[in-house]
Amino acid sequence: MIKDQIETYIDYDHNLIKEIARRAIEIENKFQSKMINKSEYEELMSDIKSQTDVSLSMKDLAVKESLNKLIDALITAATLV
Amino acid sequence: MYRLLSILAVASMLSGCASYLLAKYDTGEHVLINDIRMSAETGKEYCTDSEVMKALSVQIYRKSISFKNYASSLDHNDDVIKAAESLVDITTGLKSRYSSDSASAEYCKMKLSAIESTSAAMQLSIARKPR
Repeated sequence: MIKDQIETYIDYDHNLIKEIARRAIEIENKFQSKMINKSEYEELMSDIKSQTDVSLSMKDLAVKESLNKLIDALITAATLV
Repeated sequence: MYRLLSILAVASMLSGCASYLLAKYDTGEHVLINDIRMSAETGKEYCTDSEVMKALSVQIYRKSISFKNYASSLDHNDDVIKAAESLVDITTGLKSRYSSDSASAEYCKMKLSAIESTSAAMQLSIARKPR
């Protein structure tokens, strides 16, 4: 039931959410088919949180990069005044 | 306001494109994250060999520590430092498991995939830092 709920997020229009949902389902499937044990399952699931943290940090970095470019453009424009 | 912008403009012209909010592109940082990504990417073929994986897991862990320390030495690099700490968390799990007992091949493949995709995302952002 929970797995079905997570699967609905795979169609979600957001790359990070989509990737988290896809990965969680993949780990769940491997555990259900006994390809990984319980402690491996728990560790891989907790890695999703670390991966999410990385994605959010990189998103912040991308925003700063864009803002940096805009400030550069603003300064260039000011030189033409 | 225009005076401030003029001063910034002169400073900018003198130094090329400036970096106001984040650390500039750093070749050393890029090389280190690329190395972690490559180790995870090429390591998957050894997932059935626990002896090789034991050595590789320590190697990847040490590389992630090296990357975190290097990133920490750069000013205005908070986002990369935070991401590097999360990457260390992921690689610590791999190293700990192989140092205490063996791991399943599926766990190994998924763990290395997680390290590969995480470091790839970081590399993409690091490569786009202002020159």
